[in-house]
Amino acid sequence: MIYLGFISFVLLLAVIGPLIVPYGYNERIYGPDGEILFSAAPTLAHPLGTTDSGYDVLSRIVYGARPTVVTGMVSGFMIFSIGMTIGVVSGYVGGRVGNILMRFTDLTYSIPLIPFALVVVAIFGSGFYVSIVIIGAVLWRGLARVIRSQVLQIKERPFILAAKTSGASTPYIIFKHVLPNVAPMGILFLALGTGYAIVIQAGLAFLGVTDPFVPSWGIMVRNAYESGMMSSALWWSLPPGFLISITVLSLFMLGRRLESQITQNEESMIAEAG
Amino acid sequence: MSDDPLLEVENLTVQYKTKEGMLTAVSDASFAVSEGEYFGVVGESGCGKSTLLLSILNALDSNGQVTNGVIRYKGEEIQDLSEQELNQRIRWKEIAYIPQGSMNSLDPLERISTQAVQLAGLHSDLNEEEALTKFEEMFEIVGIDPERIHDYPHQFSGGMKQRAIIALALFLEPSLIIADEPTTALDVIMQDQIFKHIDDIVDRVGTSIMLITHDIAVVFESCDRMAVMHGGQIAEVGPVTRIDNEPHHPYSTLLQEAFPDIREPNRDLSVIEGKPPRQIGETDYCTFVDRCPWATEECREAPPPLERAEADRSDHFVSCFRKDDVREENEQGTDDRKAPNQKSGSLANDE
Amino acid sequence: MTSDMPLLQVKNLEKYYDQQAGIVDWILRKDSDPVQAVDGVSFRLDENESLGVIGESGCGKTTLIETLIGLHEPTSGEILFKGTDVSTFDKGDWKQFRREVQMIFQDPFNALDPKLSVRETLEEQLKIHDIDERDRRIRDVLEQVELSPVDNYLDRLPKQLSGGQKQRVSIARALIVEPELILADEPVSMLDVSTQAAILQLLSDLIDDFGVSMVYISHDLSTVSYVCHQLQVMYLGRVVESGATEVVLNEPKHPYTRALLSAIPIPDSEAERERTELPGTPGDPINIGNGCRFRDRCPDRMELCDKTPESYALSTDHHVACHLHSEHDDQGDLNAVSSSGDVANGQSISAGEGGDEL
Ligand SMILES: Nc1ncnc2c1ncn2[C@@H]1O[C@H](COP(=O)(O)OP(=O)(O)OP(=O)(O)O)[C@@H](O)[C@H]1O
Ligand SMILES: Nc1ncnc2c1ncn2[C@@H]1O[C@H](COP(=O)(O)OP(=O)(O)O)[C@@H](O)[C@H]1O
Ligand code: SF4
Ligand code: SF4
Ligand SMILES: [Mg+2]
Ligand SMILES: [Mg+2]
Repeated sequence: MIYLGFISFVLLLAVIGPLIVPYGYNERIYGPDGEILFSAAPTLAHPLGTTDSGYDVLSRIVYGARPTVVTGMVSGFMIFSIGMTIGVVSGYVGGRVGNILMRFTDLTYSIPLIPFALVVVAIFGSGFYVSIVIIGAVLWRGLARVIRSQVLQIKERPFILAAKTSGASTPYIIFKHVLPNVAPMGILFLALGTGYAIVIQAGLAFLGVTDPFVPSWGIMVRNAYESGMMSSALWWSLPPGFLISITVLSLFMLGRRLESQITQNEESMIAEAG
Repeated sequence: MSDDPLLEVENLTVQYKTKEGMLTAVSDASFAVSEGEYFGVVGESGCGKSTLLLSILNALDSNGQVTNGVIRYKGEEIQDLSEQELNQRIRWKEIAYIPQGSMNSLDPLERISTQAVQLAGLHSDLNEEEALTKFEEMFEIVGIDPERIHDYPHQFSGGMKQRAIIALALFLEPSLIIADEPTTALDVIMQDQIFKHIDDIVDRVGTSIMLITHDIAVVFESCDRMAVMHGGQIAEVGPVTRIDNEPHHPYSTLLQEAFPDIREPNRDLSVIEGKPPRQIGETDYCTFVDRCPWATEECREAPPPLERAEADRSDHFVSCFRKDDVREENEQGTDDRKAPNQKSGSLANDE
Repeated sequence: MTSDMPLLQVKNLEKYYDQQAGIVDWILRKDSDPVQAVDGVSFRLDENESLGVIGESGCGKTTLIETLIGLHEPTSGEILFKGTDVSTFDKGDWKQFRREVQMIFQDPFNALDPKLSVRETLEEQLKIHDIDERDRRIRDVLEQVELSPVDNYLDRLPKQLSGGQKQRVSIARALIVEPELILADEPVSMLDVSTQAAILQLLSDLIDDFGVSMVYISHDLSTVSYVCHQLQVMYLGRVVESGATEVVLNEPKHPYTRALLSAIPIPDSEAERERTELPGTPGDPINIGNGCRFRDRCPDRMELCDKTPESYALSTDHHVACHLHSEHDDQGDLNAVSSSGDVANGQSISAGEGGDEL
């Protein structure tokens, strides 16, 4: 429950954050003496201090929630939709189409994500959305495999035969019988994939493979690192890293919860079946 | 058959810890198996048959425990023995076990002979050569070519695997074999082949067998004595001829009437509505009460004690408050029941 | 036998499966021999009649039923439904066929979609076939399969139902579209005896009271008398004996039928039954060549048995494919049938007799 609470909190920040922050993310903060406050330690007015460029860290953090959420949602959506489609189609339709799709999935397994991202950035230029799409375009592979093997099992169960023999069409069977039965697994991967995408996006941001002007938490860590003040300005370098970890942890834990629920259901079904 | 029982179970209660609370899977069960006896346990699925025998083997799932009662093997209480003692002295060597769905319990990566040698090393003093010689003999008994002991399990069909397991259970010459539904999921001919070998073993080796099944016909045909279980309680225990001909418990009666008999293809089959309850907490009533045509209020107030069916018989016990009424009614009804009752509108007469 | 045209007629049906060739075979372009799962099966099923198909595991029963319902393309042979060859069906005909022919599966634990409630499962059928008055039909059919009070069951998921209740929902799903033919694959073999009787009763009521026809598959002869008028005993893809249920049960002629009968345990502590003499299992119908397919296990095997036995008529209604009966093709046997007719009318000839002869 704490995890769900935390994720809702991050989502809320992403939606209303920019409306409630006292300062803009690139608004320079001036001290009472009229000087820009570079790398100031926390004070009451600036609870998390300022950066080496004189921005308010707390405000930047609040702003940073939105890119993080967007990263998670876009990559998560891509992972879910591509993975489910390929997994279900290759599993259910099978035959030549299924084989081609599966070879394609195997191919994506041979792609090392970070070098691939570097190459793509070299071609298309760095950008926030480019970095997310790269992640989504690669990480669906795990889901596709798992779903395919689940579909292969489900498709042999008599209730699918029953639908077939009563004249249901293939798309109908897929939407009505196959998808609902593999959905829990898809949602588990959605949660895990979203978290994983956020971590990788932060990694890419840190490597500079993304737009340096979108104030994501990853970029904040990178800025702190580049300023060479990682260890001296802890008020600046720690919170974004910390937030990334907790967000991702929450997503993973949520996934685990789902996972144990899925297996429990299966177990209780087995127990009832004697 | 000597008089001293080989296995004695007294007032055994077994519970599983579950989310809803303590689930009582076996409640206050008592019975005994003598040396050389072929003992059957019947009941529907979920009656607690598997739990009962797993507790005898001290092999309950980790959430299960014996909460009351004693289990005596050759006079020694075994319910509290340590794993090590059980492995050294009791398991396989004294009591062998053929698990439910055991066709899949062979290790697919090892030759069957290797698995036998390992068992022998673990539970006996036999050396490899002696073990293999013994194992070959057992293959002979269960009707598989002894040369095939070196095969891998996947080289065997389902029925052969089942027989190989029986050979494994036998070859350390245990005094008691416990088999849990050894033929469920096999078809009739395979089932009959396997029971033929089990019969053979009882005759030739003199091992006692405790056979768990939901097939009352198999027990009536093969066993000497039997127990009928319902909802964790022992409903009736006694010689098969007695329970077949003079059942005192409503469940024994109904179970028999529900069973098709190829000799009377048109007899009406009785239906027992519902299923055995999942009992959370202590069982303080008769678990058959919701399905029993004889039930009265009394049956909800306390569990019926397992008592002598008739005062002068020391080998037949029943737990039913109304056993005498049931018995009487059965006696009167016998004629209708046993006659091949032509069903109204029966299929045979439509031609 | 109301009209001349049978509801379902099968002529010389064959279904061979191609074996999955390994990569080595594929490179060597080696053709592997097919699995002859169903090999030359013929029968006719009239309206309001039920046919039992009996045999051990691997004899081709499920393949037969799945081919009948159109899940597999037959390798050769004809399936005529109400006189029309199903291979000439267009899309509309198939749709109609899929409504008129329904299937009940062996494994009640897997036959229902775990995500759909009872109502949704039944509604699906009505939607697919565009049938109105859904609520009323759902309630009626649940009453019919004795799941009442209906409101208790409508919104349950399969995991909230016992095995017997699941099988009732399965049957209701088949019934709700008012089919003419039901194909049932071992519908009671996974149920406890206590529920088995009720389901058998329900199936036989469907035939007697609702005019449904049925093909009923089982490996166990002890329950067929409750549902089937006619029996066909199958061995490795071929029919070895067929006839009216009582005739086959009381006067089994094929050694395999006798073995099947004699292997059934008898629920009587005093009965003395000999255990089966039959060794082994049916094996795989791959590359089995000519001759009687039962000969490796047959206690009565003769030299002649290396030739494939034809199906001999012992009477108009009792056929057996075994050389033991090859000379039986004239009047002698018609007598046998009339006596078996008597049996059907009540006098008991115990099935033990079939067994004793072994
Ligand atoms: N898809 C398939 N591919 C290849 N062989 C198959 C296939 N399905 C079945 N077979 C083979 O066809 C034969 C008949 O199988 P089928 O499933 O029809 O038997 P059955 O009589 O229904 O058996 P059971 O009682 O076990 O259900 C068997 O040898 C089986 O191995
Ligand atoms: N490991 C377990 N945890 C909880 N309940 C169990 C467990 N094993 C069995 N049960 C329950 O105990 C009862 C008896 O089960 P079991 O002994 O397997 O019966 P049977 O062998 O007669 O079918 C059932 O209600 C079953 O669901
Ligand atoms: S004690 Fe009561 S409920 Fe139980 S079997 Fe006897 S009569 Fe039926
Ligand atoms: S034809 Fe020969 S082998 Fe086949 S069943 Fe008859 S006697 Fe046996
Ligand atoms: Mg069990
Ligand atoms: Mg089958």
